[in-house]
Amino acid sequence: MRYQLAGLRVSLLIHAAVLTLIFSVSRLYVTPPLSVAIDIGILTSAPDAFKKDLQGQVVHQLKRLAKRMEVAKTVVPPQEKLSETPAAENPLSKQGELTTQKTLDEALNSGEAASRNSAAVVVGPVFDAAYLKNPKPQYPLIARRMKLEGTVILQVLVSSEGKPEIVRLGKSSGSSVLDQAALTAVQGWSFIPARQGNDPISAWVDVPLRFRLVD
Amino acid sequence: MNNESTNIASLWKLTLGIFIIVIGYATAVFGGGVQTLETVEITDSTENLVGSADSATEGTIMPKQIEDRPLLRTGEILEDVPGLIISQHSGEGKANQYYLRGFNLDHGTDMATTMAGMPINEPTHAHGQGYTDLNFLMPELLSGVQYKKGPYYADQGDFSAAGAVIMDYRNVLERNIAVVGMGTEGYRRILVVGSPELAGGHLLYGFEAYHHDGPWVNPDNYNKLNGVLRYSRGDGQNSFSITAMGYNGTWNATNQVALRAIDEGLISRYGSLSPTDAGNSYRYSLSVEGQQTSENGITRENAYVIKYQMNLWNNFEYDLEDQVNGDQFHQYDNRVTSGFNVSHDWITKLAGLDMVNTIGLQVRNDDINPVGLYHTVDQQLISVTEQDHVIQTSGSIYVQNRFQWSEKFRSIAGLREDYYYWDVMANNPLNSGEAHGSLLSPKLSLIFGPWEKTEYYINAGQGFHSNDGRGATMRVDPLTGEPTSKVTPLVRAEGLDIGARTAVIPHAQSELTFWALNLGSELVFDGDHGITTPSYASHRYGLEWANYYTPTSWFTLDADLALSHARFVGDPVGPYIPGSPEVVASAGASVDSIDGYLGSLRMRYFGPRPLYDDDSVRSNASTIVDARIGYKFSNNWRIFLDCFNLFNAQVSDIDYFYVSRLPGEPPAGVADISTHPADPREFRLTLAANF
Repeated sequence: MRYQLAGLRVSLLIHAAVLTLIFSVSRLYVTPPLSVAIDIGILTSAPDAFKKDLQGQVVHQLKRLAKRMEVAKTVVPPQEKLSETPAAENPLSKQGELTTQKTLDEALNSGEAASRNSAAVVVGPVFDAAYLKNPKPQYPLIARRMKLEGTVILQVLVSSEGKPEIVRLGKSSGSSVLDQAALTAVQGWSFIPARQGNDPISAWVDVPLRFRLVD
Repeated sequence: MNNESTNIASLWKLTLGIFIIVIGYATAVFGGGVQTLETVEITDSTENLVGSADSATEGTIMPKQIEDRPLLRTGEILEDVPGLIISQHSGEGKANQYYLRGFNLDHGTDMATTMAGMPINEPTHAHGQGYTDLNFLMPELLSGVQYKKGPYYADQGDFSAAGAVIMDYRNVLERNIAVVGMGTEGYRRILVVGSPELAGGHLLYGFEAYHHDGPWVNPDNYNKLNGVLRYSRGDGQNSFSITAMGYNGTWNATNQVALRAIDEGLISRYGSLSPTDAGNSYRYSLSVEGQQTSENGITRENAYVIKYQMNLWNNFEYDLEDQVNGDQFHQYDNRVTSGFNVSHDWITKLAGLDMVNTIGLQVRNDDINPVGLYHTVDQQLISVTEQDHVIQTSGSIYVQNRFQWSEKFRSIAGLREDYYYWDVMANNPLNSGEAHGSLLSPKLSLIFGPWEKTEYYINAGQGFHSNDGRGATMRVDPLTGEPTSKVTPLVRAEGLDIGARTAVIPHAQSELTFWALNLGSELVFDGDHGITTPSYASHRYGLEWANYYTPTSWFTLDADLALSHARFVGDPVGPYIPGSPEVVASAGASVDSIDGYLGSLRMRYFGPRPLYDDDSVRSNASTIVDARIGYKFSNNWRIFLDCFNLFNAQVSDIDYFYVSRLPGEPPAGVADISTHPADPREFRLTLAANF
């Protein structure tokens, strides 16, 4: 009974995912894909994607989705982000975050069952928390001496290989020393590229770096 | 396979629900524009000086250190500066005696002290050149105490040869604090400080009432009232503040006494030979400070006006000069000090290397009307010895280039020009006149490293102190009427530091420095006039070793040692400089807190000093241990007991050697040690509440 119920839920979820996909495809034809930053996340239904190992991908993407939502929920206060970067809207609406989480948890608990179903969901690009493992910029000595602090927001075009193709200043910290330190560090970083279906694509992302001196 | 057929209605509900959720999610994530990643935090510690300091003897005392230290006197907040000794030869309302780098700095002759951008040293002061009264400070409000030893810093001018101490208050307190303290020897203290938000900024307020008698037969009855009000806006990068401060103190003074009077049983150890010696002082200031950070760098500016007054009645020689009326004299200083400082740092790169160019302008004016010396009996005026109106103006401009030549080498080159003008309107027209002086002071610091978290510093530079403006126009001695020669108004100092700083031991910082300092003329205490007067040239060298260790957040350990060698050049009596300490050591441990318990133990060793130029008379060393034990009931309540002079050492705060005459002694007087005994064991209980 319990097994059957779990199977039902997964099945429903997959159906819903397919519906989402269809919905997304319809949107895709309204807005040109990938032409502007806003579109990087839009899902596509390139036929090839369906032919590839969809069974594994669904679970994989769902896990990443859940992980990402947890990261987003615990680490990034949405209001603060909104106020800092009005240009980049909060990727997670509050209600979506709360309600989806429960369903996803349930789905993941029965992930094995899902793997035997051959429906597909394609989740958009996920820059997950892995980028935090990149080496942080050194606090410039001159900035420490001059007691400079501030937040830099860099705009980074992440290539499909996960490399920063273009790194440019989105919002200055107020001092060029910190801006420069951030630019230099991020130029050497690796990212997890955005994905269109199963294919990595290049996309813009905002990277905030906060320089702070403590006692 | 699934149960779709068993309950179609609920199935569709679920499907629809999930559909909506997933659509909502997809739209939220991908419909909104560029993603913003999690903020990357890059933090560094301001305490970490390896890589950013200009010398091995530059540092900052953090508020936590000040909080953990039992303070017998307000000025003891500066004793966290390695090698610095705070003492007192008179009533507690008077400026402290300072000792640093082999100097008896008297009341601050060669140590420049500033608070919120306002200079504290008073030039052409009635009692002592560079007089530095710290009693108006509220330790609980300090954001830290920055110190820089030696004449190597372009932004430091007058009185900074031995070192500079830079203080300011916090704009915002983490918590409002109320303190009630009671103790032996008449200690009472009430303090309330807070910083509520106001109109987009913060209003910092502080109020302190303080009373202390001391062990004296003639109690100090030191009463002080202290207030601070500051409105500030902004953050560490861009800020503005306006501050009003007010201090008023009155006290009786038991000055140093001739040792023979105690030995012969004329007075007890804590007795007085001139019970009407006393003083009072006030200081009111209004100041503004601002800082702007932009792409071009940092601009800082501040301006201030200070109204200051001091009256002192002292008798250091008893019946030597006037065997009928005695030698009590009154010193009166009444002045308005105003000034401003502006500086700009251009933070740039040259050939890809970090560079900061700085230009600064400092202007100060003292209108002292009058600065006076009077002969009194029991504070009653007998005659005016000297009463002058002095206007003293100084203007200074400095430039500095800070350049990071490579990852392991940086340099700081500075040039400073100081210009002084005195207009003395003396009660004796012979001593009236105008005087000018100017000096150019170059400074250079070379810093190598860090290697293994260790840096090496070479600092060389020139600095100066000004002399009392009255000396610059003086033709006759106001006391004796005899012809006298004018003094050089600006006295050159030149120094060299070779030092190292390491953080190679985790959680520890250690600094070792060899230093040397030559001074064109030494300012020494003159008992006749009760002031400091210019004396012979001097040379000094020494070694300083400072260690600070914080293995955990609740435990700190520090230990400092300073050795110095100081000699006059050309003194026919002998090369020894009276009062110059040869060894100073201090060590302390603080716990704050384990299971609510807090405590600290501090030891201070103040080594022997020559008291006379030929080293025929020396002072004894003193070791004083202070202790604190306390308990934190919660985050909001704290109680602690301070014990000063835990082992009740019968030692002296300060010793002098000069001629004085007790009633009945020969007219020529008797050369003897004059001593001011240190406070015996004293307890203070303090209850502090956060609200």
